[in-house]
Amino acid sequence: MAKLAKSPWLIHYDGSSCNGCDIEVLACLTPVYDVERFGVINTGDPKHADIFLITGGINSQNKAVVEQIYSQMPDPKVVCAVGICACNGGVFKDCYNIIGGVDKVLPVDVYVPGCAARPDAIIDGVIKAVGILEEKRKKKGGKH
Amino acid sequence: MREKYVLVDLTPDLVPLKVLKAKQAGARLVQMCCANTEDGYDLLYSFADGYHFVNYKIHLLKDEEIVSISNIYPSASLYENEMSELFGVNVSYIGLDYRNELYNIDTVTPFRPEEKEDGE
Amino acid sequence: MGNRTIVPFGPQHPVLPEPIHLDLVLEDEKVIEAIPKIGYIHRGLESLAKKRDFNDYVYVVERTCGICSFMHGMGYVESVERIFDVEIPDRAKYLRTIWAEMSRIHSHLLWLGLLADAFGFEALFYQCWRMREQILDMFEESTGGRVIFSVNKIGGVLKDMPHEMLLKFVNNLNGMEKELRALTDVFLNDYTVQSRLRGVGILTKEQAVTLGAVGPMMRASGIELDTRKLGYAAYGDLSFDIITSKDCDSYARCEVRIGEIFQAFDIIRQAVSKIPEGELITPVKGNPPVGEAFMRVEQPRGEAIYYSRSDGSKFLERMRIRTPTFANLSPLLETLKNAELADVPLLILTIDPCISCTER
Repeated sequence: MAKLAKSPWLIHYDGSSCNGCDIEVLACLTPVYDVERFGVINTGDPKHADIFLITGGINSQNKAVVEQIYSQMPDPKVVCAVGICACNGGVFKDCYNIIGGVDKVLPVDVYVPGCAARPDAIIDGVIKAVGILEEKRKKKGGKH
Repeated sequence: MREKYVLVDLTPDLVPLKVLKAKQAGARLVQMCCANTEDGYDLLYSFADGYHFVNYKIHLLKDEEIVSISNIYPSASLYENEMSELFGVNVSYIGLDYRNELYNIDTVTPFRPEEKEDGE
Repeated sequence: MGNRTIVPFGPQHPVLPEPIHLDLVLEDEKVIEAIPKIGYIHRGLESLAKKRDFNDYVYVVERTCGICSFMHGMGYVESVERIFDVEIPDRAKYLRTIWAEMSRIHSHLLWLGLLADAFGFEALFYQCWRMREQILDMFEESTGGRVIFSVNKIGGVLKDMPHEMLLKFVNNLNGMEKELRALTDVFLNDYTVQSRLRGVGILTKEQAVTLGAVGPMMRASGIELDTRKLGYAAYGDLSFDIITSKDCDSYARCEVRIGEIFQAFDIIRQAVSKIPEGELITPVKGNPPVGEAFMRVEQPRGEAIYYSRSDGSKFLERMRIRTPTFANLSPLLETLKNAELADVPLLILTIDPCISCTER
């Protein structure tokens, strides 16, 4: 029954980050850190994804993109904000084109701090997200 | 060792001529940018011929217009769109004109905040 | 004439780690025109110069882009040093050079990996990124950070690399170099790779000049220009050739970048053998004087320009960054013309796009 928790697929979207967290997210997926050992696969298709990793803050233009990706993901789903910019805007908080963290538009389940977030922290966040995913699945009571 | 470069003042009407000359000399357009001054803008156009780096500073009054150089250097379009959207510089005849929607931002000319109060 | 269709590409796309949107006008499978739509990552960090003082602003500039973060910091700091007219200690110059070249290696390896992924060689992608981790380990050991380092300060650098550490790094790099030869052989000699890269995305020498291409993109079109030759940091004391190619295609861009990785190994070895002992920082007092300065540095992606203007207060009046990808956008649109739709992701990758830089 707990198949979902054994192979959670993730989708990554770069909000308005500096790229630092993005390359760290990718570094997690490649050798040395390798989250694939937890069954995690990075996918580009929102309809295949269970975990939504967002790096960077939200601005008025990418707001719609983020919402659209989220709405396409099947239930249950978990949102993971990676890096301080995704948590609350970070150094760019005072910029004219930043609305704020991801929680301004989506319900965020896991916050991963850091600038840039370290791969160890990201892996920790993903594992936490898997736990939350499993809880949500149980609450929903569906056969996934 | 520090690079030595040239910084020359230029009046807006001489811009097309100078840019054309730069183009004929085989220089490439390095960058174009804009800075606020009290009564208008300082536009900075930079060209490089090999390692020779030449910058033109053009003082433009707030309501003055400047003619686009995108018909000489097509890549100037992006810089001109940026100047127009972020600073509100009046650039006419831009080749690929995004009409102030290059970055698609909510704030109108964010680099010139005082204009917002009387402008809107 | 076939049917004309407009295909939207991006912003969220499996090949691109970063969002960019292109409207591709197609005639059957052929791209007639590409119209870019940017602004998904626009933050407006240049405006922060008015809110953070000139010392703190180094940390903002570094976060223009997480890949070339060190060089962004260096370019900004050198432009302000020029306004102050301070000479930084020689040791700091060499340390900046070493970190800058390490950044180049890590950036090019990252790019090679993404390129391999784009033409479907996933194992090669993983191998490149595995090699890159070794550079990141060195960064972590010397600066404390993996991608954002915060070691630049106006007047010099904040951290030193002891002699033993430098020797260890050279040793590591020598080991890496051997391993890397085998890896880059695949890029340069494999039949399948060549079939994807050769003759694809031609940018002629004339086009490169008129459209303002920079960096490896320009050098792959046969133009011998490298901003490092201006001699900023310690580059004036080191000897290196400019790597160019005459093929003007995607293969040439790959070749130039690979050449630059090995060149960076060599520059670091030279710098380590010449680095003098001494101070790390020349103290700078007060606010920057009234003035303006341009600074050009050669980033992994090409020439970047920093323009700082000070009105004598602790906040800079204007800070402008022209990043290499911004300059390379126009050449990209040119290479996309007449390309096949299936080659579009690959062609976008060959300019080594950094969208965070571009939109700032």
